[in-house]
Amino acid sequence: MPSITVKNLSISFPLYHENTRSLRKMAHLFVSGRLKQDQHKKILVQSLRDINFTLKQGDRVGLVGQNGAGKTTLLRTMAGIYEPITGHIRIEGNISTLLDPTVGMNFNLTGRENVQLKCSINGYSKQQTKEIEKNVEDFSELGTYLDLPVRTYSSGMQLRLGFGLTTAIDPQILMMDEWFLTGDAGFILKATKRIEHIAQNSQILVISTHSAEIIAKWCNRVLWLDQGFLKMDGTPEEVLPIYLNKPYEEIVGKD
Amino acid sequence: MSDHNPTIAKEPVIDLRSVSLTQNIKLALVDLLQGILQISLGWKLGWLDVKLRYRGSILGPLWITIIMGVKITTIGVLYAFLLHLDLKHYYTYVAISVVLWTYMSGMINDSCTIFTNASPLILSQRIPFSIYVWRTVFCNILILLHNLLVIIVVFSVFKIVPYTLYLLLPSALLWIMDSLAIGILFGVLGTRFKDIPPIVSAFTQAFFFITPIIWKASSLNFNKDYILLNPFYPLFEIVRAPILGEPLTSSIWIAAIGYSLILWIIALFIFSKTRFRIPYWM
Repeated sequence: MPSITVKNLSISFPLYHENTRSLRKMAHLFVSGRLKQDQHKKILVQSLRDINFTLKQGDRVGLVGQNGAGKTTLLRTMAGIYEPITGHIRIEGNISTLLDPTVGMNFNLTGRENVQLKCSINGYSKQQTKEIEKNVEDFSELGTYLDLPVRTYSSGMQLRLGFGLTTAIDPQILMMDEWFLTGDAGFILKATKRIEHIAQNSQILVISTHSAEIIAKWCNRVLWLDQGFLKMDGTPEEVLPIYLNKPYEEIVGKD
Repeated sequence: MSDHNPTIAKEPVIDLRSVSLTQNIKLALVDLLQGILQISLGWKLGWLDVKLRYRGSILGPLWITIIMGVKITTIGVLYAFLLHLDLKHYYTYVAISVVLWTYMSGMINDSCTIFTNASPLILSQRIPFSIYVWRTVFCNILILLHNLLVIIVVFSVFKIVPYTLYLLLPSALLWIMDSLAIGILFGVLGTRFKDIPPIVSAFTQAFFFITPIIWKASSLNFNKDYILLNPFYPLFEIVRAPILGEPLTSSIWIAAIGYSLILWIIALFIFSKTRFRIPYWM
Protein backbone atom coordinates (compact mmCIF):
# COMPACT_ATOMS: atom_id res chain seq x y z
CA MET A 1 0.00 0.00 0.00
CA PRO A 2 1.50 3.32 -0.99
CA SER A 3 2.02 5.77 1.83
CA ILE A 4 4.17 8.73 2.76
CA THR A 5 5.03 9.48 6.35
CA VAL A 6 6.69 12.76 7.23
CA LYS A 7 7.86 13.38 10.78
CA ASN A 8 9.41 16.58 12.15
CA LEU A 9 10.85 17.27 8.74
CA SER A 10 13.03 20.32 8.23
CA ILE A 11 14.98 21.04 5.09
CA SER A 12 17.48 23.85 4.91
CA PHE A 13 19.83 24.83 2.15
CA PRO A 14 23.34 25.96 2.93
CA LEU A 15 24.35 29.07 1.01
CA TYR A 16 27.89 28.57 -0.20
CA HIS A 17 28.01 30.24 -3.53
CA GLU A 18 26.19 33.41 -2.59
CA ASN A 19 28.01 36.26 -1.01
CA THR A 20 26.84 35.33 2.45
CA ARG A 21 28.33 38.41 3.98
CA SER A 22 26.21 40.71 1.91
CA LEU A 23 23.45 40.62 4.44
CA ARG A 24 21.70 43.58 2.93
CA LYS A 25 20.72 41.34 0.03
CA MET A 26 19.21 38.81 2.32
CA ALA A 27 17.73 41.16 4.83
CA HIS A 28 14.21 40.20 3.90
CA LEU A 29 14.99 36.55 4.51
CA PHE A 30 16.35 37.41 7.93
CA VAL A 31 13.27 39.43 8.74
CA SER A 32 11.03 36.51 7.88
CA GLY A 33 13.18 34.34 10.16
CA ARG A 34 14.07 31.86 7.46
CA LEU A 35 17.80 32.39 7.59
CA LYS A 36 19.81 31.02 10.42
CA GLN A 37 23.40 30.08 11.11
CA ASP A 38 24.40 26.55 11.93
CA GLN A 39 27.18 25.55 14.29
CA HIS A 40 29.78 26.14 11.59
CA LYS A 41 28.51 29.71 11.01
CA LYS A 42 27.19 28.66 7.64
CA ILE A 43 24.17 30.57 6.45
CA LEU A 44 21.18 28.33 5.96
CA VAL A 45 17.92 29.02 4.20
CA GLN A 46 15.17 27.11 5.90
CA SER A 47 12.92 25.83 3.21
CA LEU A 48 10.76 23.52 5.30
CA ARG A 49 10.30 23.78 9.03
CA ASP A 50 9.10 20.97 11.28
CA ILE A 51 6.56 19.38 8.97
CA ASN A 52 4.40 16.44 10.05
CA PHE A 53 1.80 14.55 8.05
CA THR A 54 0.91 11.14 6.68
CA LEU A 55 -0.48 10.43 3.24
CA LYS A 56 -2.40 7.22 2.70
CA GLN A 57 -3.80 5.40 -0.27
CA GLY A 58 -6.58 7.42 -1.85
CA ASP A 59 -5.25 10.77 -0.74
CA ARG A 60 -5.35 13.33 -3.51
CA VAL A 61 -3.52 16.23 -2.09
CA GLY A 62 -3.40 19.82 -3.23
CA LEU A 63 -0.30 21.64 -2.04
CA VAL A 64 -0.94 25.36 -1.72
CA GLY A 65 1.11 28.31 -0.58
CA GLN A 66 2.80 31.41 -1.91
CA ASN A 67 5.76 31.27 -4.23
CA GLY A 68 8.73 30.21 -2.16
CA ALA A 69 6.64 28.62 0.56
CA GLY A 70 8.56 25.38 0.05
CA LYS A 71 6.16 23.48 -2.20
CA THR A 72 8.72 22.26 -4.72
CA THR A 73 11.17 21.41 -1.96
CA LEU A 74 8.50 19.34 -0.24
CA LEU A 75 7.68 17.54 -3.49
CA ARG A 76 11.35 16.78 -4.09
CA THR A 77 11.77 15.58 -0.52
CA MET A 78 8.78 13.29 -0.92
CA ALA A 79 10.39 11.93 -4.08
CA GLY A 80 13.47 11.01 -2.03
CA ILE A 81 15.68 13.53 -3.80
CA TYR A 82 16.50 15.74 -0.82
CA GLU A 83 17.41 13.53 2.10
CA PRO A 84 16.42 15.20 5.36
CA ILE A 85 19.08 16.36 7.80
CA THR A 86 16.45 16.80 10.51
CA GLY A 87 13.38 14.67 10.74
CA HIS A 88 12.29 11.54 9.00
CA ILE A 89 10.48 10.62 5.83
CA ARG A 90 9.31 7.22 4.70
CA ILE A 91 7.92 6.64 1.24
CA GLU A 92 6.31 3.35 0.24
CA GLY A 93 5.36 2.75 -3.35
CA ASN A 94 6.82 3.65 -6.69
CA ILE A 95 6.95 7.34 -7.38
CA SER A 96 6.69 9.35 -10.53
CA THR A 97 7.37 13.05 -10.49
CA LEU A 98 6.53 15.91 -12.81
CA LEU A 99 8.47 18.60 -11.06
CA ASP A 100 9.59 20.63 -14.02
CA PRO A 101 8.60 20.48 -17.68
CA THR A 102 11.94 18.98 -18.68
CA VAL A 103 11.50 16.00 -16.30
CA GLY A 104 15.24 15.45 -16.48
CA MET A 105 15.25 15.09 -20.25
CA ASN A 106 18.40 15.52 -22.28
CA PHE A 107 17.59 18.21 -24.83
CA ASN A 108 20.13 16.98 -27.35
CA LEU A 109 18.58 13.55 -27.55
CA THR A 110 15.49 12.89 -29.62
CA GLY A 111 12.13 12.52 -27.96
CA ARG A 112 12.19 8.77 -28.54
CA GLU A 113 15.67 8.41 -27.09
CA ASN A 114 14.54 10.30 -24.02
CA VAL A 115 11.59 7.96 -23.62
CA GLN A 116 13.89 4.95 -23.88
CA LEU A 117 16.37 6.48 -21.49
CA LYS A 118 13.67 7.19 -18.92
CA CYS A 119 12.53 3.59 -19.23
CA SER A 120 15.99 2.23 -18.60
CA ILE A 121 16.37 4.61 -15.65
CA ASN A 122 13.21 3.09 -14.22
CA GLY A 123 14.46 -0.38 -15.06
CA TYR A 124 11.69 -1.41 -17.43
CA SER A 125 11.91 -4.43 -19.70
CA LYS A 126 12.11 -4.14 -23.48
CA GLN A 127 8.46 -5.07 -23.77
CA GLN A 128 7.37 -2.41 -21.27
CA THR A 129 9.59 0.14 -22.96
CA LYS A 130 7.90 -0.55 -26.28
CA GLU A 131 4.46 -0.15 -24.76
CA ILE A 132 5.43 3.10 -23.08
CA GLU A 133 6.96 4.38 -26.30
CA LYS A 134 3.71 3.69 -28.11
CA ASN A 135 1.71 5.24 -25.31
CA VAL A 136 3.80 8.42 -25.32
CA GLU A 137 3.67 8.58 -29.10
CA ASP A 138 -0.11 8.50 -29.05
CA PHE A 139 -0.52 10.92 -26.20
CA SER A 140 2.01 13.53 -27.24
CA GLU A 141 0.86 13.63 -30.90
CA LEU A 142 4.37 14.68 -31.84
CA GLY A 143 4.44 12.62 -35.01
CA THR A 144 7.78 12.80 -36.76
CA TYR A 145 9.04 15.28 -34.18
CA LEU A 146 9.51 12.37 -31.82
CA ASP A 147 12.66 11.50 -33.77
CA LEU A 148 14.09 15.01 -33.60
CA PRO A 149 16.16 16.42 -30.75
CA VAL A 150 14.02 17.80 -27.93
CA ARG A 151 15.76 21.18 -28.21
CA THR A 152 13.94 21.73 -31.51
CA TYR A 153 10.57 21.42 -29.75
CA SER A 154 8.33 24.29 -28.79
CA SER A 155 7.67 24.53 -25.07
CA GLY A 156 4.20 23.12 -25.64
CA MET A 157 5.65 20.09 -27.39
CA GLN A 158 8.17 19.56 -24.60
CA LEU A 159 5.32 19.74 -22.17
CA ARG A 160 3.29 17.11 -24.02
CA LEU A 161 6.29 14.80 -24.21
CA GLY A 162 7.25 15.28 -20.57
CA PHE A 163 3.73 14.85 -19.31
CA GLY A 164 3.04 11.86 -21.54
CA LEU A 165 6.28 10.23 -20.44
CA THR A 166 5.76 10.64 -16.71
CA THR A 167 2.17 9.53 -16.76
CA ALA A 168 2.57 6.68 -19.25
CA ILE A 169 3.00 4.20 -16.45
CA ASP A 170 0.49 4.18 -13.62
CA PRO A 171 2.67 5.18 -10.72
CA GLN A 172 1.48 4.45 -7.21
CA ILE A 173 2.47 7.93 -6.17
CA LEU A 174 2.34 10.82 -8.61
CA MET A 175 3.72 14.22 -7.70
CA MET A 176 3.23 17.22 -9.92
CA ASP A 177 4.06 20.84 -10.01
CA GLU A 178 1.41 23.02 -11.53
CA TRP A 179 3.33 23.83 -14.69
CA PHE A 180 1.32 21.29 -16.68
CA LEU A 181 -1.54 23.78 -16.74
CA THR A 182 0.35 25.97 -19.17
CA GLY A 183 -0.58 23.95 -22.24
CA ASP A 184 -3.33 24.78 -24.69
CA ALA A 185 -6.95 23.88 -24.04
CA GLY A 186 -6.78 20.61 -25.96
CA PHE A 187 -3.76 19.49 -24.00
CA ILE A 188 -5.29 20.43 -20.66
CA LEU A 189 -8.35 18.37 -21.53
CA LYS A 190 -6.21 15.32 -22.31
CA ALA A 191 -4.01 15.87 -19.30
CA THR A 192 -7.08 16.15 -17.10
CA LYS A 193 -8.33 12.80 -18.37
CA ARG A 194 -5.03 11.15 -17.60
CA ILE A 195 -4.77 12.58 -14.14
CA GLU A 196 -8.34 11.61 -13.38
CA HIS A 197 -7.51 8.09 -14.49
CA ILE A 198 -4.51 7.96 -12.19
CA ALA A 199 -6.47 9.52 -9.38
CA GLN A 200 -9.25 6.97 -9.84
CA ASN A 201 -6.78 4.14 -9.43
CA SER A 202 -6.88 5.37 -5.85
CA GLN A 203 -3.18 5.88 -5.49
CA ILE A 204 -1.58 8.95 -3.96
CA LEU A 205 -1.63 12.13 -5.96
CA VAL A 206 0.09 15.32 -4.88
CA ILE A 207 -0.37 18.49 -6.91
CA SER A 208 1.31 21.74 -6.10
CA THR A 209 -0.92 24.48 -7.44
CA HIS A 210 -2.26 27.98 -7.08
CA SER A 211 -5.56 27.08 -8.68
CA ALA A 212 -8.48 26.55 -6.32
CA GLU A 213 -10.40 25.18 -9.26
CA ILE A 214 -7.95 22.27 -9.68
CA ILE A 215 -8.08 21.52 -6.00
CA ALA A 216 -11.85 21.58 -5.84
CA LYS A 217 -11.97 19.25 -8.82
CA TRP A 218 -9.32 16.68 -7.98
CA CYS A 219 -8.29 16.90 -4.39
CA ASN A 220 -9.79 15.59 -1.20
CA ARG A 221 -7.10 17.04 1.00
CA VAL A 222 -5.15 20.28 1.10
CA LEU A 223 -1.77 20.99 2.65
CA TRP A 224 -1.09 24.71 3.09
CA LEU A 225 2.54 25.67 3.35
CA ASP A 226 3.45 29.09 4.63
CA GLN A 227 7.05 30.28 5.08
CA GLY A 228 8.14 26.66 5.25
CA PHE A 229 5.64 25.73 7.97
CA LEU A 230 2.68 23.46 7.44
CA LYS A 231 0.01 26.00 8.28
CA MET A 232 -3.04 23.86 7.71
CA ASP A 233 -3.93 20.30 6.76
CA GLY A 234 -7.53 19.41 5.98
CA THR A 235 -10.22 18.97 3.38
CA PRO A 236 -10.59 21.58 0.62
CA GLU A 237 -13.79 22.77 2.29
CA GLU A 238 -11.86 23.48 5.48
CA VAL A 239 -8.65 24.95 4.11
CA LEU A 240 -9.54 26.84 0.96
CA PRO A 241 -11.93 29.39 2.53
CA ILE A 242 -9.25 30.40 5.03
CA TYR A 243 -6.43 30.30 2.49
CA LEU A 244 -8.30 32.43 -0.04
CA ASN A 245 -10.29 34.30 2.55
CA LYS A 246 -13.66 33.81 0.91
CA PRO A 247 -16.55 31.36 1.28
CA TYR A 248 -16.13 27.91 -0.29
CA GLU A 249 -19.26 28.23 -2.43
CA GLU A 250 -17.78 31.28 -4.07
CA ILE A 251 -14.51 29.45 -4.83
CA VAL A 252 -16.21 26.45 -6.37
CA GLY A 253 -18.86 28.53 -8.10
CA LYS A 254 -16.23 30.51 -9.96
CA ASP A 255 -15.93 27.98 -12.78
CA MET B 1 11.98 -3.65 8.52
CA SER B 2 11.62 -1.79 11.79
CA ASP B 3 10.71 1.84 11.69
CA HIS B 4 13.90 2.77 13.47
CA ASN B 5 16.27 0.95 11.19
CA PRO B 6 17.09 3.45 8.48
CA THR B 7 17.96 1.57 5.36
CA ILE B 8 17.23 2.13 1.74
CA ALA B 9 15.64 -1.15 0.84
CA LYS B 10 15.08 -2.12 -2.74
CA GLU B 11 12.30 -0.05 -4.23
CA PRO B 12 9.70 0.86 -3.52
CA VAL B 13 10.39 1.69 0.15
CA ILE B 14 12.55 4.72 0.84
CA ASP B 15 13.25 5.52 4.45
CA LEU B 16 15.27 8.65 5.02
CA ARG B 17 16.58 10.49 8.01
CA SER B 18 19.83 11.86 9.30
CA VAL B 19 22.06 8.99 10.37
CA SER B 20 25.47 8.37 11.93
CA LEU B 21 28.66 8.18 9.90
CA THR B 22 28.76 4.38 10.10
CA GLN B 23 25.25 4.22 8.71
CA ASN B 24 26.21 6.71 6.04
CA ILE B 25 29.14 4.54 5.01
CA LYS B 26 26.66 1.68 4.71
CA LEU B 27 24.36 3.84 2.58
CA ALA B 28 27.31 4.89 0.40
CA LEU B 29 28.19 1.22 -0.15
CA VAL B 30 24.53 0.49 -0.96
CA ASP B 31 24.66 3.29 -3.52
CA LEU B 32 27.79 1.76 -5.07
CA LEU B 33 26.20 -1.68 -5.09
CA GLN B 34 23.04 -0.36 -6.75
CA GLY B 35 25.25 1.38 -9.27
CA ILE B 36 26.82 -1.97 -10.16
CA LEU B 37 23.41 -3.65 -10.36
CA GLN B 38 22.25 -0.93 -12.74
CA ILE B 39 25.52 -0.73 -14.59
CA SER B 40 23.81 -1.09 -17.96
CA LEU B 41 22.15 2.27 -17.32
CA GLY B 42 25.56 3.83 -16.69
CA TRP B 43 26.75 2.27 -19.93
CA LYS B 44 23.76 3.62 -21.82
CA LEU B 45 24.25 7.14 -20.49
CA GLY B 46 27.98 7.08 -21.28
CA TRP B 47 27.37 5.72 -24.75
CA LEU B 48 24.79 8.43 -25.46
CA ASP B 49 27.29 11.06 -24.30
CA VAL B 50 29.85 9.93 -26.86
CA LYS B 51 27.21 9.54 -29.54
CA LEU B 52 25.84 13.02 -28.89
CA ARG B 53 29.24 14.63 -29.00
CA TYR B 54 29.73 13.52 -32.59
CA ARG B 55 26.17 13.55 -33.86
CA GLY B 56 26.01 15.43 -37.16
CA SER B 57 29.72 15.07 -37.83
CA ILE B 58 30.70 13.20 -40.99
CA LEU B 59 33.58 11.23 -39.52
CA GLY B 60 31.88 11.05 -36.14
CA PRO B 61 33.83 9.49 -33.29
CA LEU B 62 36.60 8.66 -35.76
CA TRP B 63 37.75 12.21 -35.07
CA ILE B 64 38.89 11.03 -31.64
CA THR B 65 41.21 8.57 -33.37
CA ILE B 66 42.47 11.10 -35.92
CA ILE B 67 43.23 13.77 -33.34
CA MET B 68 45.13 11.23 -31.27
CA GLY B 69 47.06 10.02 -34.32
CA VAL B 70 48.16 13.54 -35.17
CA LYS B 71 49.16 14.26 -31.59
CA ILE B 72 51.20 11.08 -31.16
CA THR B 73 52.90 11.42 -34.51
CA THR B 74 53.89 15.02 -33.80
CA ILE B 75 55.30 14.24 -30.37
CA GLY B 76 56.87 10.93 -31.40
CA VAL B 77 58.65 12.18 -34.50
CA LEU B 78 59.60 15.59 -33.14
CA TYR B 79 61.19 14.42 -29.88
CA ALA B 80 62.80 11.35 -31.39
CA PHE B 81 64.51 13.71 -33.83
CA LEU B 82 65.32 16.48 -31.33
CA LEU B 83 66.65 14.17 -28.63
CA HIS B 84 68.28 11.66 -31.01
CA LEU B 85 66.17 8.76 -29.77
CA ASP B 86 65.42 5.48 -31.49
CA LEU B 87 62.26 6.31 -33.44
CA LYS B 88 60.62 2.90 -33.26
CA HIS B 89 61.14 2.51 -29.54
CA TYR B 90 60.26 6.09 -28.58
CA TYR B 91 57.27 6.30 -30.91
CA THR B 92 55.60 3.19 -29.49
CA TYR B 93 56.35 4.32 -25.94
CA VAL B 94 54.79 7.73 -26.57
CA ALA B 95 51.78 6.21 -28.33
CA ILE B 96 50.87 4.09 -25.32
CA SER B 97 51.70 6.76 -22.77
CA VAL B 98 49.76 9.56 -24.44
CA VAL B 99 46.71 7.36 -25.01
CA LEU B 100 46.76 6.34 -21.36
CA TRP B 101 47.24 9.93 -20.25
CA THR B 102 44.36 11.11 -22.41
CA TYR B 103 42.14 8.61 -20.64
CA MET B 104 43.41 9.54 -17.19
CA SER B 105 43.28 13.30 -17.60
CA GLY B 106 39.92 13.08 -19.36
CA MET B 107 38.56 11.00 -16.51
CA ILE B 108 39.86 13.41 -13.86
CA ASN B 109 38.66 16.56 -15.62
CA ASP B 110 35.26 15.12 -16.52
CA SER B 111 34.84 13.96 -12.95
CA CYS B 112 34.60 17.53 -11.67
CA THR B 113 31.34 18.05 -13.53
CA ILE B 114 29.80 14.59 -13.17
CA PHE B 115 27.03 15.73 -10.84
CA THR B 116 26.66 19.35 -11.92
CA ASN B 117 26.10 18.26 -15.52
CA ALA B 118 23.52 15.74 -14.40
CA SER B 119 21.62 18.20 -12.21
CA PRO B 120 18.34 18.08 -14.23
CA LEU B 121 18.25 14.32 -13.79
CA ILE B 122 19.39 14.38 -10.17
CA LEU B 123 16.68 16.88 -9.26
CA SER B 124 13.97 15.00 -11.09
CA GLN B 125 14.42 11.47 -9.85
CA ARG B 126 16.17 9.47 -7.19
CA ILE B 127 18.89 7.37 -8.81
CA PRO B 128 22.05 5.96 -7.18
CA PHE B 129 24.74 8.61 -7.54
CA SER B 130 27.33 6.05 -8.61
CA ILE B 131 25.37 5.61 -11.87
CA TYR B 132 26.53 9.07 -12.92
CA VAL B 133 30.10 8.11 -12.12
CA TRP B 134 29.85 4.95 -14.22
CA ARG B 135 28.49 7.11 -17.01
CA THR B 136 31.69 9.17 -17.09
CA VAL B 137 33.86 6.07 -16.71
CA PHE B 138 32.19 4.42 -19.70
CA CYS B 139 32.30 7.61 -21.73
CA ASN B 140 36.06 7.78 -21.22
CA ILE B 141 36.54 4.05 -21.83
CA LEU B 142 34.76 4.46 -25.18
CA ILE B 143 37.10 7.28 -26.10
CA LEU B 144 40.02 5.11 -24.99
CA LEU B 145 38.83 2.32 -27.29
CA HIS B 146 38.87 4.72 -30.22
CA ASN B 147 42.37 5.77 -29.32
CA LEU B 148 43.50 2.15 -29.11
CA LEU B 149 43.14 2.06 -32.89
CA VAL B 150 46.11 4.41 -33.09
CA ILE B 151 48.21 2.08 -30.98
CA ILE B 152 47.22 -0.88 -33.13
CA VAL B 153 48.25 1.06 -36.25
CA VAL B 154 51.56 2.12 -34.69
CA PHE B 155 52.32 -1.44 -33.62
CA SER B 156 51.54 -2.82 -37.07
CA VAL B 157 53.65 -0.17 -38.78
CA PHE B 158 56.67 -1.00 -36.63
CA LYS B 159 55.83 -4.72 -36.69
CA ILE B 160 55.83 -5.03 -32.93
CA VAL B 161 54.10 -7.93 -31.27
CA PRO B 162 52.94 -7.07 -27.75
CA TYR B 163 54.21 -9.79 -25.47
CA THR B 164 52.40 -10.37 -22.25
CA LEU B 165 48.96 -8.91 -22.85
CA TYR B 166 47.24 -11.19 -20.32
CA LEU B 167 49.13 -9.30 -17.61
CA LEU B 168 47.00 -6.30 -18.53
CA LEU B 169 43.91 -7.83 -16.97
CA PRO B 170 44.70 -6.97 -13.33
CA SER B 171 46.00 -3.57 -14.46
CA ALA B 172 42.79 -2.80 -16.34
CA LEU B 173 40.75 -3.85 -13.33
CA LEU B 174 42.74 -1.55 -11.07
CA TRP B 175 42.32 1.31 -13.54
CA ILE B 176 38.55 0.88 -13.63
CA MET B 177 38.39 0.78 -9.83
CA ASP B 178 40.52 3.91 -9.63
CA SER B 179 38.42 5.65 -12.27
CA LEU B 180 35.34 5.05 -10.14
CA ALA B 181 37.05 6.46 -7.05
CA ILE B 182 38.33 9.47 -8.99
CA GLY B 183 34.82 10.10 -10.30
CA ILE B 184 33.29 9.99 -6.85
CA LEU B 185 35.99 12.11 -5.24
CA PHE B 186 36.27 14.88 -7.83
CA GLY B 187 32.57 14.68 -8.64
CA VAL B 188 31.65 15.59 -5.08
CA LEU B 189 34.41 18.18 -4.70
CA GLY B 190 33.58 19.78 -8.04
CA THR B 191 29.93 20.08 -7.08
CA ARG B 192 30.61 21.60 -3.70
CA PHE B 193 33.51 23.91 -4.64
CA LYS B 194 33.22 25.78 -7.90
CA ASP B 195 36.98 26.40 -7.94
CA ILE B 196 37.86 22.72 -8.12
CA PRO B 197 37.50 22.22 -11.91
CA PRO B 198 40.09 24.88 -12.88
CA ILE B 199 42.45 23.80 -10.09
CA VAL B 200 42.23 20.19 -11.20
CA SER B 201 42.74 21.17 -14.80
CA ALA B 202 45.89 23.11 -13.88
CA PHE B 203 47.29 20.19 -11.91
CA THR B 204 46.60 17.56 -14.55
CA GLN B 205 48.45 19.80 -17.00
CA ALA B 206 51.42 19.91 -14.63
CA PHE B 207 51.36 16.15 -14.12
CA PHE B 208 51.51 15.61 -17.85
CA PHE B 209 55.05 16.97 -17.71
CA ILE B 210 56.08 15.63 -14.30
CA THR B 211 55.01 12.05 -15.05
CA PRO B 212 57.13 9.97 -17.44
CA ILE B 213 54.82 10.22 -20.44
CA ILE B 214 56.78 11.93 -23.17
CA TRP B 215 60.05 11.10 -21.44
CA LYS B 216 61.29 7.85 -19.96
CA ALA B 217 61.96 7.14 -16.32
CA SER B 218 65.24 5.48 -17.32
CA SER B 219 66.54 8.84 -18.54
CA LEU B 220 66.61 10.21 -14.98
CA ASN B 221 70.10 10.62 -13.60
CA PHE B 222 69.11 10.37 -9.94
CA ASN B 223 67.68 7.58 -7.82
CA LYS B 224 64.68 6.31 -9.74
CA ASP B 225 62.79 5.30 -6.61
CA TYR B 226 61.80 8.91 -6.05
CA ILE B 227 59.63 8.71 -9.07
CA LEU B 228 57.35 6.32 -7.22
CA LEU B 229 56.22 9.34 -5.22
CA ASN B 230 54.24 10.35 -8.28
CA PRO B 231 51.02 8.31 -8.01
CA PHE B 232 50.57 8.27 -11.77
CA TYR B 233 53.91 6.62 -12.45
CA PRO B 234 53.21 3.14 -10.99
CA LEU B 235 49.71 3.19 -12.49
CA PHE B 236 51.15 3.88 -15.92
CA GLU B 237 53.93 1.34 -15.54
CA ILE B 238 51.60 -1.55 -14.74
CA VAL B 239 49.93 -1.01 -18.12
CA ARG B 240 52.91 0.06 -20.19
CA ALA B 241 55.41 -2.59 -19.14
CA PRO B 242 53.29 -5.64 -20.11
CA ILE B 243 52.58 -4.13 -23.56
CA LEU B 244 56.18 -3.20 -24.24
CA GLY B 245 57.45 -6.44 -22.75
CA GLU B 246 59.49 -4.68 -20.10
CA PRO B 247 60.09 -6.16 -16.65
CA LEU B 248 57.95 -4.94 -13.74
CA THR B 249 59.35 -4.78 -10.24
CA SER B 250 57.06 -5.73 -7.40
CA SER B 251 57.58 -2.32 -5.82
CA ILE B 252 55.68 -0.78 -8.72
CA TRP B 253 52.68 -3.02 -8.20
CA ILE B 254 52.79 -2.41 -4.45
CA ALA B 255 52.86 1.33 -5.06
CA ALA B 256 50.02 1.13 -7.58
CA ILE B 257 47.81 -0.85 -5.23
CA GLY B 258 48.81 1.32 -2.28
CA TYR B 259 47.89 4.56 -4.03
CA SER B 260 44.63 3.01 -5.22
CA LEU B 261 43.74 1.99 -1.68
CA ILE B 262 44.42 5.48 -0.36
CA LEU B 263 42.36 6.95 -3.17
CA TRP B 264 39.46 4.62 -2.42
CA ILE B 265 39.54 5.30 1.31
CA ILE B 266 39.43 9.06 0.73
CA ALA B 267 36.74 8.74 -1.93
CA LEU B 268 34.57 6.47 0.19
CA PHE B 269 34.92 8.70 3.24
CA ILE B 270 33.98 11.83 1.32
CA PHE B 271 31.16 10.05 -0.46
CA SER B 272 29.76 8.79 2.84
CA LYS B 273 29.90 12.25 4.35
CA THR B 274 28.38 14.10 1.41
CA ARG B 275 26.31 11.71 -0.73
CA PHE B 276 22.97 12.94 0.61
CA ARG B 277 24.13 16.54 0.26
CA ILE B 278 24.72 16.47 -3.50
CA PRO B 279 21.18 17.53 -4.56
CA TYR B 280 21.30 20.42 -2.09
CA TRP B 281 24.31 21.86 -3.90
CA MET B 282 22.66 21.93 -7.32
